[in-house]
Amino acid sequence: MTRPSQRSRSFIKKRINTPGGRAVLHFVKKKPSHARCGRCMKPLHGVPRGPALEIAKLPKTKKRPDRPYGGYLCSSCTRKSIKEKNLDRWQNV
Amino acid sequence: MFDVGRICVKTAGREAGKFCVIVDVLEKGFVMVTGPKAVTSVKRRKCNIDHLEPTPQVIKLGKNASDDDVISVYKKDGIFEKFQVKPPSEKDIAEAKDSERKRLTAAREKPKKAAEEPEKAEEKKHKEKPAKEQKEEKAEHKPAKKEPKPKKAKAEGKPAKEHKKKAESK
Repeated sequence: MTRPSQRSRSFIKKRINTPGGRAVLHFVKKKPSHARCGRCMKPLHGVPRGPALEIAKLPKTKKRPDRPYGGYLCSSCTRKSIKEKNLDRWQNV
Repeated sequence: MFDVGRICVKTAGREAGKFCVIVDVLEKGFVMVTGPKAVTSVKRRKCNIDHLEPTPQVIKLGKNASDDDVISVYKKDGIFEKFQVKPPSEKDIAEAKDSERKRLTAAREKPKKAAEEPEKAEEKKHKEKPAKEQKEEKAEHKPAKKEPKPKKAKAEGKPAKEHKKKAESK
């Protein structure tokens, strides 16, 4: 028997065959959604997805790309934003 | 557009958003670029033109100018004020040079190490083999020696205690 609180839709029901030959339902917490680019909303590369505790154990270099706006904007959007900033700067001057 | 002396902004990688100068034009689509490292932390490196965004700023530089020359030209033209970057202290320049020296020496030593490794591996194998043989020999001898000892100890130990007890009881 699982706890009644686990019988909610935020848990995934996983069918597992036990070594004794029974089929049992396991209640597993759902994965969080993909990290997405703040500008174009595409899923980000190089940002892991999983339970928060597992991700907290990872080193910093495996959590986001080592780049300005890494983990917040996708690579093409960072390029665009840098180019726009550069243009703005020299147009005013 | 991408000639020697053009100041650009890097748009890719961890140095994205930082400015640098073109020092040399290499094969098609590639240029040599430097921050210098003491100023903007962009290393002297080969760079794809697609990863650079040019600015209208151009400085007078010779081909393959050293980092010291670049910094002196920056000071003359007032580039530090235009790009709002602190001019580097002597300490920063020395540190940048030191790290570059370490990187170069490491690159030189690598091929040597690769040549030495197979020899070392062979030596290790030779060392390991005799050690294993010795262990096996010991392992063969040990059980033969061990078995009699505990028996003797038990045989000697128990009666001794019994004698003592008897002596006490008497």
